[in-house]
Amino acid sequence: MSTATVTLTHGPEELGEVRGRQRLAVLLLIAADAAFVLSLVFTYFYLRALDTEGGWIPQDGRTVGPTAGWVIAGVAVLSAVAYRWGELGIRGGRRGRLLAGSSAALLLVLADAALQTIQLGNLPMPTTDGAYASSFIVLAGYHLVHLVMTAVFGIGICNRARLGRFSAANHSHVEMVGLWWIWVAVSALLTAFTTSFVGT
Amino acid sequence: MVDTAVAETAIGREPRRRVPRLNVLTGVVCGLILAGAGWGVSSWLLSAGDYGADRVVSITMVCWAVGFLVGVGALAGPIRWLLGRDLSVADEHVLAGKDQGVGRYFRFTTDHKVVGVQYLVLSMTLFGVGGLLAMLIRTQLIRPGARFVSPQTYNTIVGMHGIIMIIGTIIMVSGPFGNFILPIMIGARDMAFPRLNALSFWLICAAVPVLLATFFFGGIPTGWSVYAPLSDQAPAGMDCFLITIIIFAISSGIAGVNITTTAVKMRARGMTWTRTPIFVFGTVSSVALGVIAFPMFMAAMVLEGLNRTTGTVFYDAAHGGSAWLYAHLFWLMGHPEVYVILLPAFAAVLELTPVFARKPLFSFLGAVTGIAGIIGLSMFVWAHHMFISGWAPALDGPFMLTTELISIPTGLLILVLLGTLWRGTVWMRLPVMATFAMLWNFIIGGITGIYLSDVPVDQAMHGSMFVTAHFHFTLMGGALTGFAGALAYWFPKMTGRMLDERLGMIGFWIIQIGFNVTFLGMFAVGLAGQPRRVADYPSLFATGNLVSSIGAYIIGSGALIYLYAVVHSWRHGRRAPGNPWGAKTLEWQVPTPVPLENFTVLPVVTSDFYGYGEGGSAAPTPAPRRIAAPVPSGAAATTQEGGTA
Ligand SMILES: [Cu+2]
Repeated sequence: MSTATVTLTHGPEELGEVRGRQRLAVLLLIAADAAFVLSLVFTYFYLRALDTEGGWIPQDGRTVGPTAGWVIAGVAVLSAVAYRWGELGIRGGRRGRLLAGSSAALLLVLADAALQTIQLGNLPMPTTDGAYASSFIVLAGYHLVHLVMTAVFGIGICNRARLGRFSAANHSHVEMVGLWWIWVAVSALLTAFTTSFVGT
Repeated sequence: MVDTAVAETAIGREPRRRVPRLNVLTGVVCGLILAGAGWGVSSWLLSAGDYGADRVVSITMVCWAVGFLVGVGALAGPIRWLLGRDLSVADEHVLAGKDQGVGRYFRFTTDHKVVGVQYLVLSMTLFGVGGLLAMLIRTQLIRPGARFVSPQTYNTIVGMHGIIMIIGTIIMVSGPFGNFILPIMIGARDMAFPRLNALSFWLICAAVPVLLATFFFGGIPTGWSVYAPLSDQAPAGMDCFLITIIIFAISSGIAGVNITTTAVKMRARGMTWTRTPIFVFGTVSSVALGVIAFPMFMAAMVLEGLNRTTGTVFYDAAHGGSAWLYAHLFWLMGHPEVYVILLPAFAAVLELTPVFARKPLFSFLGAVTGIAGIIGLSMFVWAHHMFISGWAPALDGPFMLTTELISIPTGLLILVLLGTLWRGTVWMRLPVMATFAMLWNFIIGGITGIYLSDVPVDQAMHGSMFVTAHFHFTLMGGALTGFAGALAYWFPKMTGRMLDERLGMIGFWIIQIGFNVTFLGMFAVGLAGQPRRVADYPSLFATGNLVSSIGAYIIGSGALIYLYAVVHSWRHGRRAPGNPWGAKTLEWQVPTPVPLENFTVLPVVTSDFYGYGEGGSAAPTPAPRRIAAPVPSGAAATTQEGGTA
């Protein structure tokens, strides 16, 4: 090996370099989470297709309509849009817009979590009856987990935006959380799509 | 926290120590307190009904893990981020264990070299426990009708041996060497995310007591694959198992993301992919595969946990579920996982063989192609575990084909090893012994695998001791042997001392002889039809089992000798020079012990690392001298990096 010793940059690492690392890491984490979500989607479609012993739909035939799922996904998408609006603001150095956008996004996520909780608390079928109920609950339940995680990130971003920690040149955390926020919206749409297929 | 790194790197600022230095003891105390609280509250509120016991156990275990992580200080960074009071550079140095002596190994320390050593000790501890269980298994099976342990206990011992060894082997190379060696090997100052690195280690530490608690809650009488519906019927020990796997999946996801990012984004200037050491390829492809594979296992476990605590019916065919669903999710992880275990160990052997053959790696491109081929195919072979489950018989043929195809890239790796040794004058030191042992063992393991991939043969052999012998030849004879080689190779760099060659050699070869005796005996009884995971057997299989048990005791004594060599050399061994093997990769060009920052001046790479003299010279080429570069005026700032997690 020949290692010519050339002096490289010292001091704080180039922001761009660090941002590239964070971006790859967040994308990989999203890939891992996607593998999890897709496992749940697979579970739903697989058990629906098998319909073992006609046991997919609960005995009394009661199911959840698809509308609520799309409303819940819609709120998730809206919150991602609001966040993105704030993120684009800080790109131009507008801190106020970031604070407004991320706060709105956070509120929408909390509202979505409330909606999802209400839906899960008022299911027409018991968990123990039919593979449909099980598969539905785990998908909707994981969306709730997503929302809680997103809310934690959102609180961090709002707080840091409030403290003026971000600038046009230096806002990689805003971007990273933004990637996650978009994925949560995509995953909500996937959940709504999946649970729209009810009967066999 | 890069956002503030710039704002807070004011040079000369008074270092303020603001992070409390918690340690493993505070972790245990905090974990026990929270577990007690979780147990109390959940038994008060949730213990009624069919699922009560499982709910209480699950909640208690989760509380333990969270409490342990809080107590060990793992959440300090994230909480400070939320509050907007980021860690200062001084804090980061404290976290990295600067000037903290041995205590830093018992703390949430972010220095990748500390994490590497922690992983090494942890995986060797797991091998100790798993090995002890293996001895119990072989003692039970020493003669037909033995009543050493009860059949229920035997089943739990088999399952626990399996999962402990699986976890141990998954982390054994990418944990210690992927953390300690890999960043130095690519010319980086640390991992991309030092705090995530420590988190991945301490998560496993949180999981291990949960796993061991399984013994106290009725065990897992299901084998480590915990197939449904057995897992639905198992006692509360199963809940501990599920929580363990979920925590472990999170840990390996974090570790995988971190190692991959480090290797992709932080290689030294000039280290193009064709100049990147093969060990980096093996480790990165393994952990990246894990990032996709383990969430599926986690999903299987979450669904099982819901079945046991809320009455969902995912795997219950009587209520619309399907046990095939479990088998799919499990094996979609389960087969790639074999390569998650194997590839880093194989790559370590590929890395060290040229050093001792004093020849370039035979076909670097072939090795990379082999690794890529294995990764690519490994996702499409899972159903070979389901040939006799009745699922989609029409797909048996295609899955047989994909499984057989995977022997081609695997064979390529074997070919690269053989080609590297071919006409080399091999410098016969302890590390390279792993190359020879691995070639022998892994070829046996691989070829028996081709037999098993054949549907008609599998109809007869499925669930027999033949299968057990086959995968021990790949995972133990192949992967674990690779680990032993890697340990001997990098031991001087990691501990600053030479591993005792004489004791090491004796221990290593006793293990290898015992290993072959054990599992060749097992092939024989498996072919004759002895089923695996059964506590007793007819006298027809007596001889083979006796041979296997004797072999196992030989492995045990060899392992003790090797362990003694490691422990003794670590404490009293001969001081190691910086580059005892005359190797060319970067980790050997830094001084031993490696300074906190690894490199004072970041290296620039101008060629690959395998340029050993053609024809093979036995004398090690002296390490290339590095000319000390002038320290730039801003050098004080070098110590201000690292706050990027
Ligand atoms: Cu397999």
